[in-house]
Amino acid sequence: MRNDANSDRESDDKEEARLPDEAVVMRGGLSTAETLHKNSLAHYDEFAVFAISVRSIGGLTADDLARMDPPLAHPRFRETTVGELRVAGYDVIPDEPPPAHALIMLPQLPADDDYIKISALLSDPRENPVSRKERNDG
Amino acid sequence: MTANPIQRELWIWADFNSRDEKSRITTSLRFAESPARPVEGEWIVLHDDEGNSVKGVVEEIHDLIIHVRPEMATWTSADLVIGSHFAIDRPFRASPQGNRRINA
Repeated sequence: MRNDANSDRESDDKEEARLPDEAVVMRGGLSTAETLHKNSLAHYDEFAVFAISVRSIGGLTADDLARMDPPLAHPRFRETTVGELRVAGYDVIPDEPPPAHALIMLPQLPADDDYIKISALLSDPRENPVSRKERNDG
Repeated sequence: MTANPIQRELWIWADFNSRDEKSRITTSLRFAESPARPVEGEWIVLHDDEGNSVKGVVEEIHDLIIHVRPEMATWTSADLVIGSHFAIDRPFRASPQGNRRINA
């Protein structure tokens, strides 16, 4: 049986690891529903869980996240927040390393509508602030 | 860049957001465009549905999953001009395939 002190410490660790609702979530590229579907299938093939790869760390802007190593290579990206995804029913959990890697968690058996909803939650595409030279050096 | 040990160039779909703990691009061979399996040490081309591609060397293969070290100097982008409507309002299926048209 665990004692209360250990239990409290574990609970604190989990709270630290949990991304805040206001954390920005960004993905390189256009993130159509079809691309999200394929990404989650690839994740399922490796981990037997459906999830979508994103970048997210509390307190950073999407531009900051694009610059993190390895720099975002896509010409454009889209973004939302952890809170918006949670309201829609999708938790976002940290999955480092690499730095800032996180996962949008999907239901056990996701439907087409899940990918359509998540794609619709993302902003219009913005230009990647990382220069082409920096991206190619990355 | 060293020469490919095999005289072929496999193209495999990847989501460039998916990086493993060693910052390699990870994808599934379910999206390979041919039944040929890459081998470790082989140079392949990873591409997405948006005209982005990069060459990389296969460092690890486990069942369907491959881990590829990209050579970012070979990255190319199509710089597509996209309209504002992104959510696809029709049923779709992801399956092994070639390049797909983006809503433009």
